[in-house]
Amino acid sequence: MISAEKLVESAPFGLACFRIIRDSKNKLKGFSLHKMNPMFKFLFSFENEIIDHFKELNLQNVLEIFQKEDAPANYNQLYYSKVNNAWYNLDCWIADTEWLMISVKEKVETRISEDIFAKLSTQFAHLSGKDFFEAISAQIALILGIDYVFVGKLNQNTLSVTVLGGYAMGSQMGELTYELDGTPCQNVMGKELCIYPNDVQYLFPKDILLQEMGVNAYLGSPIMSKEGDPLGIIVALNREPFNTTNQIEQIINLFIDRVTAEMQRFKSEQSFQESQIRMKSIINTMAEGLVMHISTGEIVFVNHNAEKILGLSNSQLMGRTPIDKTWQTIYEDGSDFPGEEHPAMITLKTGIPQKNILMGVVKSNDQISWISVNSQPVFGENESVPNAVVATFNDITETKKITTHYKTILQNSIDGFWIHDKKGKIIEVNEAFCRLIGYSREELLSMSVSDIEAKETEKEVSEHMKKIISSKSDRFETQHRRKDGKIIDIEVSAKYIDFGYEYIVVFVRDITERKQYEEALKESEEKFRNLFNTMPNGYYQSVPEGKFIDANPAFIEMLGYQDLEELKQVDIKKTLYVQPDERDDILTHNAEFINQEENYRLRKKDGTAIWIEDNARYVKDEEGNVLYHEGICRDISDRIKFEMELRKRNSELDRFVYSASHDLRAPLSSLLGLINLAETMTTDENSEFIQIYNMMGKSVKKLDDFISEILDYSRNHHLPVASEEINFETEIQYIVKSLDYLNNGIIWELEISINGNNIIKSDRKRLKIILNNLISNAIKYLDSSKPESRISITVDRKENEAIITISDNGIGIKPEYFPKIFDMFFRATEKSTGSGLGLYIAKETVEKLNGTITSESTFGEGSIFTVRIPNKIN
Amino acid sequence: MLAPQKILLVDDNYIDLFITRTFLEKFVGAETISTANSGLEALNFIKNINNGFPEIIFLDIKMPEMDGFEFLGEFEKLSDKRKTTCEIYMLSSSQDLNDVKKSYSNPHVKKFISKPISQELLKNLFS
Repeated sequence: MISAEKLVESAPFGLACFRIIRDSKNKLKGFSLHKMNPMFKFLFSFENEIIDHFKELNLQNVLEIFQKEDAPANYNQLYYSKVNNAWYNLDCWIADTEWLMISVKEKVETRISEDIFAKLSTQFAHLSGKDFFEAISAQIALILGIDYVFVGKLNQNTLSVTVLGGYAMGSQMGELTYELDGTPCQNVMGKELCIYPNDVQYLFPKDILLQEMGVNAYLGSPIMSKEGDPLGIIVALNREPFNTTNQIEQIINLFIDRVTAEMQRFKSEQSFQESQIRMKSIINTMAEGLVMHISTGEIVFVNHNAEKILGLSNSQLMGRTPIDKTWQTIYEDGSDFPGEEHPAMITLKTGIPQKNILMGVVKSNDQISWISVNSQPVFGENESVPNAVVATFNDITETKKITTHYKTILQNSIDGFWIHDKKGKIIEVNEAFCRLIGYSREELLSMSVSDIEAKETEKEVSEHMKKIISSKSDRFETQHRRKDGKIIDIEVSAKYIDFGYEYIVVFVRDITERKQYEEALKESEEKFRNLFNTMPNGYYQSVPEGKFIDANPAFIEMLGYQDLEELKQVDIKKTLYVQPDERDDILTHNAEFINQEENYRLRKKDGTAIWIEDNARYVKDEEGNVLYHEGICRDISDRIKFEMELRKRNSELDRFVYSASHDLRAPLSSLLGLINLAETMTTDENSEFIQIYNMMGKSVKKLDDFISEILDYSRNHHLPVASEEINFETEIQYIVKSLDYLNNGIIWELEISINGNNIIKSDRKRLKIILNNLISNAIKYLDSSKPESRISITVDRKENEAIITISDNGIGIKPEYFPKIFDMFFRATEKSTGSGLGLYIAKETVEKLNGTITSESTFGEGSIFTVRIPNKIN
Repeated sequence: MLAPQKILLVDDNYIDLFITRTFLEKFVGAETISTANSGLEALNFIKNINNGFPEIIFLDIKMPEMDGFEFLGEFEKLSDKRKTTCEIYMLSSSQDLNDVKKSYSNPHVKKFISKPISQELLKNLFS
């Protein structure tokens, strides 16, 4: 130990000796100062606090180093003494296993000033990339007083190095890339620090660069990533051999962490830039417009399509914010779209992405580009407020044109319809809906679905809309409240549509009326059912195959069945009809006619036959196929029986009339014959017999005329109306001749004028009855007190009718009788010898011919009868 | 026409037969006036006659056994050629137009006369 103590005393440099403290396992545990010389003491200058000071010196490091099993024999450490602001070399070694010796030698030739640290923390702080590497290279070169220092990055192929920044003989090093092969750097890349203090050119003859630069000494240190991969290299070169390698090595080590950090940053910045370039090209080629806003709203990036869609150049867009007044943006309804509501601004404010917001951008040429905007927030790491927002948008102007067209169609739709957005805000509505709900379009456009919904609550509406969006469509019935407060039933058909922007198209149909109808229908069906069940007429439905499918109680009873089930068993074809052929006839009829009334006989359950009047028709489907046959029928057996009876009576009456005409007239004509004969047997014309025969004849004739009239009347009622051409001249002449005996001895003149060339067709027999009655009246009531009597008959033969006028200057009709002249058994004069049937029969007969008869008369002057008979020529 | 000499009266009513016969005898001066009380009687008379086929037949319509129209039908069927010169006058109290029409549809019917017969009427027929 003496030797160690003596050494401390005699050393020309600072030297201290520490006793090694070991634990029970003989492991190094610590040091305690044993002895130091004045030089050592001076350099550290803390007499009493030296141990502490050594702690500062990181004696712990020394301890750790020597604790290792493969601990070096000695250890060097650079020490900066604050006493005289100088760098010292500390050499540590273990002596005699008991002592740690530390020598302090002021060996650093180039003094490294404190400002290296300052520079590291201040001057270099703001530098990056090339600038940083140049600055730090220069710094190292200056500190160490060597010619070249540079930082290079290992290229991706790991075969070459590119200089990122360097110092060369007082100036910046130019750009340079060199192959590693055959250079000392190649060894460094083997992850080792390499020092060649001299003659490096000889060691690496292939390295031409070394020769060109006239390099003699070389130091290279690898720059490693955290993962242990080589990123690059830091190289120090000198044209003179290195005096000390330790110092250089330590300086390099001092900087290496910072360089590594920068290298790593630089590398990721480069890959970031590369990916940025790639991203940019993607962004520029993408179909959507893309704009990036920073937190102030200012645009910091736009892609080509954004320029195109917005109609503005990159430079016009950069720096602009959505709130900028130069924007002219509108909502779909044409109202102003404030910049504050721009989705990018909303996202910036709230951090919530916005989707498919429709916005119209008015371009400088006043054309509107419709865009659908999405916005996505960009957050900084661990930040909750976005620092930027990326807005992307599509030009949907074309789509919207189609949509507008679509809307135009819908506007004209009869059904109510509206469009609302996902929040329920109404954005379009048609006239029909306005009418339905009673609000104007303008009012509705500021309303939401829940404002008019009357059945669902606001929450339910919202839930319902979500459901519609997820299922794409829905159809349901609900109620709406009209502006006037009235609740209306409606049927809603909602569709979720995504035309680049999302909305819900809603069709609305007012079903209030339908509901009312449904109610009314129900009621009416009930009524019908009641009627059906209680009506006296039978109702049935049957199918062409010959089975009943439904019938009302009256019908079932009519046919004598117990109930419908029993009726359904009936084979219509075989057993129902008395004459089964009839059914086919009827079916054929009803195939052609609707509501054809048919009478036929059916057999009741007990076999008796009944007459049925059936008002039946086919019920067909839309294609015209027969569904069933339905009819309303009555049991007309009684009526048929009665009609048959009536027909029999009528025919009996006809026979009676005929035989009466003969049997009554026969004795009369015999009597007249006898009178005629008796008259011929009297030679004396003034004989009273002649007068008596005459009176007898007239009485019989009168009776005969009466019988004729009754027969006429009877015929008028029974004979069908005939149609034949009428020769008025002949008919009138014949009648006048046959009636002349009525003249009472008055001599009269007849005027007949037939006018017009139209052929008149009518019922000749009836016309004769009419003329006969009118002419006989005219003759009978001629006025004997007048000097000249006349009867004029004119016939105007028109295309559609014949107008017959019979006028006379006879006695006329008293005004008080006039209204009654056409009545049955009415006689207008005491003088009358008539039956009182004549004019009545004339009128009846005219009416049978669908004609008219009118008369005018002045008592004492004469009468005019006008008959109009339709021409049946057509 | 000249006054006919052979006349057949067919009527079931004896009064009418009397009237017609008396008028004919008195004003026409017919030589032979035969009578029959029905169509059937008249038909048998004609069928069995040898000489003196009637020149004129006055025929009533309504008669028992065989009425006037039935007689006309049978008369039509006769093959006797003498019937071509025979004129038939319907003499009936009927005024029914159907009877008139039906009568004139037979070629042998010369005229339809509605009863009663009168002096004047006979004058018009045979003068």
